[in-house]
Amino acid sequence: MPPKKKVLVTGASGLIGGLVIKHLGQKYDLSALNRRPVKGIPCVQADVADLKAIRPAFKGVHTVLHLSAATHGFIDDWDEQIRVTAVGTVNVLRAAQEAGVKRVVFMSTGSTMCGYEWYEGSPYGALARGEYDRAMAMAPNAAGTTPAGDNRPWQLLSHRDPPRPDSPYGAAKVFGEAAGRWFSDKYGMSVLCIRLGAVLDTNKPKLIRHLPGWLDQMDAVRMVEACIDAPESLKFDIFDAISDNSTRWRDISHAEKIIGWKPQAASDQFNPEELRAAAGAGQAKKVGPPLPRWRKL
Amino acid sequence: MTTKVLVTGASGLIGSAVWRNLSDWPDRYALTGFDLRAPEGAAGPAHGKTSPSPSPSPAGRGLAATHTRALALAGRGNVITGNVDDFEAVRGAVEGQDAVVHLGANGGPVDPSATPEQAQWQRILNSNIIGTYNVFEAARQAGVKRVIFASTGQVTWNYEQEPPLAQVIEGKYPGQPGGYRKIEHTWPVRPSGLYAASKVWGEALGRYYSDVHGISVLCIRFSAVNRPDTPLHPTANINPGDVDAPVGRSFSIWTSQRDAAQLVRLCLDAPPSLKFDTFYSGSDNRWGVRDTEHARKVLGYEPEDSAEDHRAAPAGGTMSASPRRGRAQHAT
Repeated sequence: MPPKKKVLVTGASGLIGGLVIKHLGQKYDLSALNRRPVKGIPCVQADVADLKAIRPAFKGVHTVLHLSAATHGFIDDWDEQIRVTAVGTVNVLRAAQEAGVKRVVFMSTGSTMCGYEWYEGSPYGALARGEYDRAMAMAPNAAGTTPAGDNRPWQLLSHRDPPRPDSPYGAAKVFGEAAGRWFSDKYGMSVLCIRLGAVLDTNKPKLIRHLPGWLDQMDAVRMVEACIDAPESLKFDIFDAISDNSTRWRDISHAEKIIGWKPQAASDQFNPEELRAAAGAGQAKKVGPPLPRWRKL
Repeated sequence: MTTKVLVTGASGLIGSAVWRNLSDWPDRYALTGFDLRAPEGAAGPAHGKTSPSPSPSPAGRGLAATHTRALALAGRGNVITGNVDDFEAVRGAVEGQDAVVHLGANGGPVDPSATPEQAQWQRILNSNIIGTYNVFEAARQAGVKRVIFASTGQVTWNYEQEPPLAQVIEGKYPGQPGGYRKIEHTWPVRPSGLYAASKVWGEALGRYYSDVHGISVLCIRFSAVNRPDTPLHPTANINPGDVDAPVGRSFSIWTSQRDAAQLVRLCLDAPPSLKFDTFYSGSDNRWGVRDTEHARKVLGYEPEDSAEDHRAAPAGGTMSASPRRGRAQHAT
C-alpha cells in the first residue's frame, strides 16, 4: 500500500475541518495549522496572518487544504477579511510554494457569486426569496450558459462568469482565487478552488435562501476528496460545489466533467413552507450577512 | 455643471496624463489631487500658500498635520499630499467630491530590510488592498456618486503567454487582424502577479460597492501606458524578478497617454445609470489582443493613436513622435 498523502488542513477547527477529520482522517495523513489546538491530529498553532509563524507547518506536506478564513461574525468585517482571508491566503500559498507543496485546495465560497441575487428582475433573487413561480416565469438572463440537457428556465452561472461577491468575505475569496491562479501559472503548483455552497452544522437549510445553494455535508466531503485525489496534471480550476437542488442556479457540471464529482443529495427533500415560517420567526438575523434593502426575505 | 473630481495618484504617469487632459476643461471638472507628491505637469505649488484642509471626517477628526498641506495649483485644483493607506486622509480628501478617479497604487514607504518581493507585497498590501478599500469606503461615507478604478490589463496577462495570443504579442502575426479572439473583460482572470491579483480585489470591491451601496464603479484595465508615450518601448512587467516583455508586445497593447486620458474622461461623463462596468484601455492597435470594442460601444471610446503609426518610422520622420497633447488643448 502506498503511504498516505500528507495533507495539511488550515482552519481545521471549523465545520468543514471537523467533517474532513471525521470522514477523511483514515485516508490521509492529516495535520493542522490552527490558532487553537485541534483534537486528534498534530497541530502547528499559528495565525495564517503571520507568514513566518506558519512556515514550519508546511514541511514535507503534499497537499494543503486551506479552509481558514474570517467567517462567523466577520463576514462583513473588512479588516478581518483583509487580514485573515486575503493576506492569510497569500501567506498560505507562499508558504506552500516555498515548501514545494504539490497542491493547494482552496476553500472559496458561493459568496463570490451571490451578488447576482441582488439586481432587480434577477431570477436568482426570486429563487433566494422562495418565489419559485416568479423565477419560472422570468425570461432567462443574458448572462451565463446552461449546459445541454438542463431544463431549468433560468440560465445557470458558472466560474466562467464574472464574480459578483455578496460580502467583504466574498470579495476576499475572489482575491484568493486570483492569487491562487497566479501561484499556479507562475510556479506550477496546482491550485484547486472550491466554491462551497451552504453547508450547515445541522446539515439542514435554516432559511429559504439556503435551498438553491445548499450543500450536503457528505457531498462537501466528497468534493474535498475529489480535489485532493485529482491528477497532478490538473494545475488550476474552480469548482462549484452545490447539491443537486432543483432551485440551484449555479452550474455544477464542470466538477463532474473534470474530477468526476456528482452530488448525491438535493435540497428538494426539505419543505420550503417550513423554512418560510422559520424565517418569519426571526431566524434571518442569525445566519448570513445583513441584506441590502431591496433583498427582502 | 462642474464635476468635482478627486484624482488619487495624480502625480503618477497616468495621473499626470489625466490631470493635463481634464485641466483643459476648467468649467467642466474641478480637480483635486491626492498623492504622495504633487503632480508633474501641473503648475508648482503657490509659494508658501496652503489652502485650508478639506472638511473633517464625520467622526470629527481633522486630518493629520502631514496630510493637510493642500497646495493651491495655479487655479487648477488642489493637491492633497497623503497616502491612500491612511483612511482619515482619504476620507477628508473625498468629502464633497462628485467622483473619484482612483489611480494611486503600489506606492508608499516599505521596510528597508525587505527583499524586493517582500517590499513589493508590502506596497501592494498597503496601497492596493488596504488603500483601495479606503477609497471605496470613504467614497461611500462621503456620498460620492462614481468611482473610476484603475485596474490593469495584467489581470488577464497569462492568456497572452499561450497560443494563439502568445504568437501575436511576439510579433508573429497571422495574415489578417481578427484571425484570433481578443481577451474580453468577462473572461476569468489570469493575473501576472500579486499586483494584478490586488487589482482583481479592487474590481471585486467595486462590484460590491456598486451592488450594495449604489455607487457607480467603472473599472479601467490600463494597458501599457508608458512615459516615452510610444509602443517602441518595452512593456514593463511590474513583478520583481520578471524581465521586461519584448517591444513586440507593446504593439499589441500600447495605450497612448491621451487615449488613456480620454477613457477616464468618458467614464466621468458616462450617464449615472451606468452602475458597473469594466473596460480595457488600448490605442487603435492593428494587432491588439485586448478587447477595446466594449469601451467603444458603451462609452464611445475613439482612440486617437495607433501603434502601427510608430512602426519603422523613418528617422526624423513625422510619425515617430506622438504629440503629448491632442485635441484636448484646442477645446474651449
